[in-house]
Amino acid sequence: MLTAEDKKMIQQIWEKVQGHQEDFGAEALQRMFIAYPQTKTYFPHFDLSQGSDQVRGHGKKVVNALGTAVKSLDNLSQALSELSNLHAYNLRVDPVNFKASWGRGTELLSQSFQVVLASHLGKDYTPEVHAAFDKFLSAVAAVLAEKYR
Amino acid sequence: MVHWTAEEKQLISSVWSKVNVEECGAEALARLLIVYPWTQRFFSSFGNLSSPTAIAGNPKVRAHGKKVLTSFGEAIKNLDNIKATYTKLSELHCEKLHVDPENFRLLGDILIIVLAAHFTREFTPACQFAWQKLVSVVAHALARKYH
Repeated sequence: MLTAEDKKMIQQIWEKVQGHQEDFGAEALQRMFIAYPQTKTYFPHFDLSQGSDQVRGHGKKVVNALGTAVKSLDNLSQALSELSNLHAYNLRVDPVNFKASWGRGTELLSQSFQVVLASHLGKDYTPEVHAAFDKFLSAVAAVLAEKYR
Repeated sequence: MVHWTAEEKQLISSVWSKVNVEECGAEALARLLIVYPWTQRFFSSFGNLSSPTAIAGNPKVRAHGKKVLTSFGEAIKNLDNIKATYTKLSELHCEKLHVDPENFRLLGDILIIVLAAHFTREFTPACQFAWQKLVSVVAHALARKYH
């Protein structure tokens, strides 16, 4: 569960993402495609080469959605309801790519996004911030996987 | 046997050569205990783990972190035979320590984030790929002798 302190840290860190949505999003996807090539199977229709406009555009979309989540930390389920439907009925991306089964912390997109944050924020990505963000991404992923069955 | 390309080996060793094993090990273990607090279950003898500050400053955590990462260095010295390198440690983690192998995967991912925070832009996607592969191979080797 996200504590008040977690929420504060998440919002503070998110301020550093402002203005870099497209860059961070594109980088997270790029890292994910490179570190976990199996994730590319969901994008056969994309040009996945370095600097691809499609990847940038999609990265921006993903980060903007996370931004919506950050603004609605008290009601993620409702805020992400449409995306939840989309992932469950339409995209059907296997949840291992983004969702933690209880106890795991190794969702692929979450890991890649955290590596982007860590590599850009350096020391500012403190253990406390890391913990709060990991929890946040887990919560988002759980909502996205809610309607799968 | 795991196949490593020349590039992967180079990316691994060039990052490793710049790692302060004591600091990085301490940081990685502390973060494991902070980000995934249930992992504290293995360290009830370590004293004060009551807050992130306590964990980060705990001398037993630091010492153990160093020990763990030093052992990791052995894998890097023996990339072509990681399985053999970890046979005994695998048995130990199963028979004496009773550690769920999932924890090795968690620590591996934490280590990657510590490296990313430390090396920032230098920790390129290609670096991440090589290191994710390495931590996965190490985790697998440590889980191999479980019964």
